[in-house]
Amino acid sequence: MMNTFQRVANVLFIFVLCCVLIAAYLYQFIKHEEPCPLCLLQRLGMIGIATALLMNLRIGIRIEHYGLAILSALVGPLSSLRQIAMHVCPQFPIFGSPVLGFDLYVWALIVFICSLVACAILLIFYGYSNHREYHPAWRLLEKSAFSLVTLIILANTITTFLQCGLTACD
Amino acid sequence: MMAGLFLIYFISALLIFWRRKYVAFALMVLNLVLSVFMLFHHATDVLKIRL
Repeated sequence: MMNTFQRVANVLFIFVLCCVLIAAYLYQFIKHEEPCPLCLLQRLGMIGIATALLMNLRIGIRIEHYGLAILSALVGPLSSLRQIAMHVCPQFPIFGSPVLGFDLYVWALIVFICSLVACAILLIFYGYSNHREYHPAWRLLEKSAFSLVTLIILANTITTFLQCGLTACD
Repeated sequence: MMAGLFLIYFISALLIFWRRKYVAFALMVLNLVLSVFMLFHHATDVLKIRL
C-alpha cells in the first residue's frame, strides 16, 4: 500500500510540474513573451525533476532517483536567484509580466523550493516502505505522466531550437 | 546549444522508457553539469567578465 501511495504521489508531483511548464508555454504564446536564457534554464531544472521522477515510475522507486530530483531542484534555483538578483534593484526593469504580483522567475523559485520539500516528504515515506525491488505496473496514470513529460520536453526542444538555433540563446 | 540540453533530456526520457537506467542517470547528471556551465556562460557574457 505504501508503494502504491508513493507511485501516486510521484505521478501527482509530475503532473503539477507539467502544469507549471504548460502555463509557461501559454505565457510564451498568448502574451508573446519569449523566454530568456535564464528562463530556459529554469524550465530545464523543472524538466530535470520530472524526468528523475519518471525513473521512479518506470524503473522502481529508488533513493538515488530522489537524489537526482533533489540535484535538479538545487540547480534550477541558481538561475532563478540570479534572475531575481538582476532585477531586484529599483532602477532595473522587471522581466516579463507578473502573475499574481510575482514575476515568473520568483514563481519558479517557489516551485523549486516546494519540489525540495516534496522530495524530502517522499523520502520519509520511502523510509517506511518495504524497499522491495519490482517492476512497477505500467498503468494508465503512469503512461499519461510519461507521455506528457516527453511531449513537453520535445516541444521545448523544438521551440528553443526555433528561437535560438544552435547558439546559447545570447 | 540550449536546445541541445532539452534534447539530452528527451533522450534520457527515451532511455528511461527502455529501462536503460544507468545511461539515463549518467546523461541526466551530465545535463545538470552542462546547465551549470550554461549559467556561468550567461553570467560572464552579460557582465563581460572572465572567470
